[in-house]
Amino acid sequence: MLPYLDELKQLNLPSKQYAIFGSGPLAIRGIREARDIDVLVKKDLWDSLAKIYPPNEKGNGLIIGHVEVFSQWEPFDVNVNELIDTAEIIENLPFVRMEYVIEWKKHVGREKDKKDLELIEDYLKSDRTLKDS
Amino acid sequence: MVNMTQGDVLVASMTRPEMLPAMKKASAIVTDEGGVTCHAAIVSRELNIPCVIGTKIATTMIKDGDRVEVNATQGIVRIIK
Repeated sequence: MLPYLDELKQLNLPSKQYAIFGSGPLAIRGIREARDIDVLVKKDLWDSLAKIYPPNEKGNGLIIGHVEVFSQWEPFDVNVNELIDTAEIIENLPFVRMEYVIEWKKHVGREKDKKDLELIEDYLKSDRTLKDS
Repeated sequence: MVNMTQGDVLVASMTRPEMLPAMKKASAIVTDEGGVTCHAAIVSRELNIPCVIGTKIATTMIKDGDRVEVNATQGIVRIIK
């Protein structure tokens, strides 16, 4: 569901300085598969990584194997540090909280984001019939 | 996991994202391993499914078809004879 986690772990990024975002929070839950790992990092870490790793095609991120690193989650006016500081630890890795993922996808509103929102809604809408009875 | 039916208690060593369809059918989840940030703990909390993690022995003590009672508030899993 979420490939290349080992690749990310091998980078040994400093804790509290990064969080997995994009489709990662969906994939770690099993909501849908992710093809790569997008990581949001704080400015200091970005500055040091940018000296080592090449930029991506759009020039807004860095490519480290199958891991793509960003310093902004555009277009989103939530502070990057807040997204990272409030990240949820799942299986020993930090993930941007689902409420931010939902907010971002509503904000962007591309077709694939709308599909993801439906998947998230379906995920959260479990059949509680047996438990409620 | 393919044998899971709605309302079964899911007992596993640990859960993984691929197990989400089975987890959604579960009336409760019990695992051998894991801590408060493990996949089972996160997903069960979000899905409002009772969950007891880190039992160490659930998969060796509980067999397919056993009737079990899960008290997630107290962290107690009981096999009902």
